[in-house]
Amino acid sequence: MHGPDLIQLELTRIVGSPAALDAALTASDMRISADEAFSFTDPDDLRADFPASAIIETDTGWSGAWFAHHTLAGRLASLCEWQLPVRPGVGQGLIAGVPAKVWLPPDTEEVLLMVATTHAHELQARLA
Amino acid sequence: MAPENPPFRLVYDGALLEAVPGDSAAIVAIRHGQAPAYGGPLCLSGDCGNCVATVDGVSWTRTCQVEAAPGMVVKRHPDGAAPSLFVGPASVADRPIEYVHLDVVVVGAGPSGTIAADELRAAGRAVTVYDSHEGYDVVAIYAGPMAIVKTRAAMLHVHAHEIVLATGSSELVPVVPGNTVHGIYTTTAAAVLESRGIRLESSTTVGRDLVSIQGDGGVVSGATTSQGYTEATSVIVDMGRSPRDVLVRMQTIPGVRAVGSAASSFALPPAPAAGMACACSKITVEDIQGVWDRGFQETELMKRSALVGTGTCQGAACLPHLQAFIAARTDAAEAAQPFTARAAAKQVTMGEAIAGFFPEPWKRTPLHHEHLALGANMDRFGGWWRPWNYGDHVAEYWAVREAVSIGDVSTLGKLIVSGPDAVELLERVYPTTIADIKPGRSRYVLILNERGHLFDDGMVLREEDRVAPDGTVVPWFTVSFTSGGATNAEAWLRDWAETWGLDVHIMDRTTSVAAINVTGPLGRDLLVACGVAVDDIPKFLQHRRLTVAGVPCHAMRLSFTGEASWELHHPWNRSVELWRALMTAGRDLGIKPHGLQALFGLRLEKGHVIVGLDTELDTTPRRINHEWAVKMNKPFFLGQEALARTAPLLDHRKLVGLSIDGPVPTEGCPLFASDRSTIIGHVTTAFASPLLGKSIALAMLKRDWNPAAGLPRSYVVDGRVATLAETPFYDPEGTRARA
Repeated sequence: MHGPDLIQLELTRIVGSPAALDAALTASDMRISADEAFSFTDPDDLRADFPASAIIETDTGWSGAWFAHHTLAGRLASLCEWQLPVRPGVGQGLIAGVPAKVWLPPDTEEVLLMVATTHAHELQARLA
Repeated sequence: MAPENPPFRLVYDGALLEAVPGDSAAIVAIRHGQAPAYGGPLCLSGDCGNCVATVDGVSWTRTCQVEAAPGMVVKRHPDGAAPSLFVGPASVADRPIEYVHLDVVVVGAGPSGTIAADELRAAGRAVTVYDSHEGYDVVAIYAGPMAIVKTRAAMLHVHAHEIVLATGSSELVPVVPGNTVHGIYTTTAAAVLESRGIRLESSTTVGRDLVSIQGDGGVVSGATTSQGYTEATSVIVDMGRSPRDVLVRMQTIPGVRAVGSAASSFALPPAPAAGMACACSKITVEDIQGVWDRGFQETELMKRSALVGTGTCQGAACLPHLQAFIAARTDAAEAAQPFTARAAAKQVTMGEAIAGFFPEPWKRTPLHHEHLALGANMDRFGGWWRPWNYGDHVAEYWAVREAVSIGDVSTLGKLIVSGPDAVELLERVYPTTIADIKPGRSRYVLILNERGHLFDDGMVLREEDRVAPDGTVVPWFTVSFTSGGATNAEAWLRDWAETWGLDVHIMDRTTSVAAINVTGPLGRDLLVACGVAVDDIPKFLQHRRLTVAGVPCHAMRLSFTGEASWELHHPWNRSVELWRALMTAGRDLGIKPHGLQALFGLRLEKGHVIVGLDTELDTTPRRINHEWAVKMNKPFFLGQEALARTAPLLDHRKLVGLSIDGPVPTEGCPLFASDRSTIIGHVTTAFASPLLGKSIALAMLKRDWNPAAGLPRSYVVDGRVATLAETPFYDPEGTRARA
């Protein structure tokens, strides 16, 4: 059995004050906590929108795959104790015992499944 | 023509017994004049736990709840003992799991459950009813709330907004002298038997005035009540009822409530004077009296001290009697409150208990496959797969000492700390000074808790300050932690920053930034061969952004091996590229990768401690001779107060270096005084040093030596003499690390 191909992602990771993130980010960015987010925008294009203390770094330590919502929901039914969030939204927790994130961006039917690349091999095997 | 449902046979303790279709396994035994288990009152309702046996390899099965089947094998548990936990593959077979999210769950489809469900539906709630008679056994309730439901097909983890427990009531079983013989039934059990065509000949029905039950050969011969003795071969007991509240007693949390009989109060039975009180755990009334006499005088304490109610029925049968026992001896009503029940309300197999469980995942660095391709023996350390060696740890050792080597240190914890209060935060959490670290410089740090105990160590690297448009200066740091400490590093720093209300930002880069350690006297040559200008190579404790073989790196000059070393921190996705470039460029320099086995020895020669191996939970800097890394004259740091308080106290714990002739001793082995009379400590780590030609070790002295008289010079380890040695064992001046 072969699990979904989880490919390495190139993201921008942002840590800053909640107010700064509120002001600079949109629903197309992946807000994982009050003071932390991922974005697909180049870090150099983001820095001007943030205070000097915000940490904005390219992050290649994540792997992921895009799924149709119903495909992922079906796949996770027996692997995930928590429910997929309402779109747009981010869900975080264990999937098959592996810490992972799912992102439901606006304006699409797809869902991004994300996992630290350190754990990608485990998640891929357990989703097979 | 064959009958539609012919009788069949099953195996009961090795004997073939004929069963009637529809019989439970317990009924089959009773039909043949036998006890399903080893006697005692039977409820035949799944409450009492007096019929448990091993059924088809699954122990602790309530035989009254299992329909007999052709070829079924039932085996009574050992009399007075527990069966083997793993009795067969059936007990550990994987069970599928389903996660279910519902609005309201009603447990029990009896009258009160039906009324509750109707009322909830009328209020617009979506209601799901689970009932054991329909194959849905709710075996546990957890916070959430969440119910664990056992079905034939799968285990369900049911998350609901509300759980309503309508589990009804159960009949009291008698606790009187003689209540361990076979042939005692509740009225419900008697009705079940009658419905199965089994008539209890020569029975007597007794009530709350039952005094004792007489037996002959393990079966009932009569019963004595306040009215006198009656000869009988079976006793039907009608003593009243109690709430069937095992699930209710598991969780008293919002979102879980009981209704109907499960939430009702019933009259307690008469206080028991003697007899078997808890058949599951074989606890007698005399046992209960014993703990009472020793001062354990409320239900939870008596449960823990006597183990009453800790068995398979979790107090379903014995709790009312325990409450009656207490109520007869004290007016304190709270002392007789029901004790908490623990999962599972009905026995589950190991496979059912672990349904949905996945083992902890082990992390891989981006170089995992490079290590495998190089023949690495991989092992697990600190949550990561890491190369232990590449087949010859001594060759790897010599590459570090005499040429150049690279090691995968991607596992180190790496955080960025920024913000106006970044210096303040780090000054408070680290015991060394931070504000005087210049940009481009770094410093080794101990990491202490509030008690002054060492729980990690690492480096603090100061970057160039950032300046906001309004001129505000924003200090910027990279801080590192050990591989094992990385997991909790971010939460630890964030907790303190929030506790103190400091304006900082913290980003964990541990799994985003990989790192390769270039180490050895030819390390500088390797960097040059990879395109780095000699003048750009950081000097000792400096760090700088470099491009190495085309890969952007944050190069940090430090040393754990004792040789000149540069940690090259770089993007996770460029690690393989960098590793291969270094291996190729280093070919003419004699490069070899090194694993943890060589690294642990290299650092031991330098006397560097590994937190968690050479330290204990309460190790202070003084115990490992690291007072130099603690600046007690700082205004404040975590653990400072505790260290100041304990500084004047005599301390027997001390990490020392040992030199030992012969083979390397086992790590953890005891350290004896020189006269071999007393164990005074233990070896923490040891290594057969190729360079020194002998075994060396670090050991923690613990007791039975006199600190005021100085360190003993001689010890016995592994039956051999060990001599106190100065650390570092190698290059004590540190000239090679700084070269």
